Order: sequence, then structure tokens, then C-alpha cells
Amino acid sequence: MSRWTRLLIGLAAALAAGWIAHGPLGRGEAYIGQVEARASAEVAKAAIAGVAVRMARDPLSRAALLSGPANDFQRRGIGELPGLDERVGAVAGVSSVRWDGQIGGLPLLAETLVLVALAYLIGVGLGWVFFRPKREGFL
Amino acid sequence: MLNLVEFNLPVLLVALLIGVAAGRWIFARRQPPPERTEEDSSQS
Repeated sequence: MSRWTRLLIGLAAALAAGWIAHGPLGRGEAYIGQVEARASAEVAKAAIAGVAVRMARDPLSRAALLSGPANDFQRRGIGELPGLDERVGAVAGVSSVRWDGQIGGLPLLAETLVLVALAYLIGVGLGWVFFRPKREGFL
Repeated sequence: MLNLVEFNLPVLLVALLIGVAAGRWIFARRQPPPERTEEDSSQS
């Protein structure tokens, strides 16, 4: 079996582990739930009646979706006064802020799998450091 | 992003360990076939 085949088999195993954690084990949903709770608390602090925030769930994404009656000042702020966009965008875990009807945002699964692939490659690098054949003898 | 890394730390650790195991599998020294001894030659 060639080295590339072994590398790809390992990558497939790592990605499968990442997908299982994200989907069947519910880590992705739990993460988005946590971020949504923080974003909702931030919107509640702004005390603008009728405005709500939810996270994109189809597919799961770190994009915050704001809805409700807010004027331009309330949305974007002015000068040093931050608007809802900036306040929600500053919440840890939120990657982008959108208003009603706008869609988009990188799926959380894609972000998770990129991180898993990076961790896997770091692991392969460590494997190379510790398990590569050593040169025998000095001469 | 850092928050996502923190949250996914367990699965990232698993991926890292899979990577180390794969690295060991990929880069392990290939064992040369055992050399035939005179005894083996005389038996054949």
C-alpha cells in the first residue's frame, strides 16, 4: 500500500470522527445553541423592542440572523455608539451578522472538518518526527 | 474562531492522535525479508 493511500485512509478516519462529533453526537448543535444564547443576551441588552436573533441552522452556521423592526441607527450605530450589527458580531463564536432574508455563511460542518484536517496533518507531522526511520551509524 | 477550536478540542485531540498513528503507519521502517541461511538452503 502506498504512503499516499495510507495518508488518505487516515484523513478519512479523522474526518469521520469529526463528522460523528458534529452530527450524531450533537456537538455542532450544542455549540450553535451556546452562541445563540450569548447573542440573544446581547440583543436583550440593547433593549430594542421586537428585535430577535437566531443562528442559521439549515445548515448549521456561525452566521447570526437578526430580525425585527430596527432603523439604520439601531442596526449600524453611529460614531462610538455600536449598533446591533457590531454588538452581535462581537459575541464570541459569531462569524457574521445578517438581517432578515439574507442567507449565506460557511457551514459549521465545513469549518469543523477543516480544523480536524489541520489537527490530523499536525499529528502526521508528529508521527514523522517520532517514527521516521533513523539513519544508522555515523558514517 | 478560537472559540470554535476550544469547543472542538476533544475531537481535535482525537484527530491529532489518528494523525500520529497514521504517521507511524506511513513512515514506519519497512522490515527487510529475512535472509536465507545456509540451513534453509540445504533444506530446499
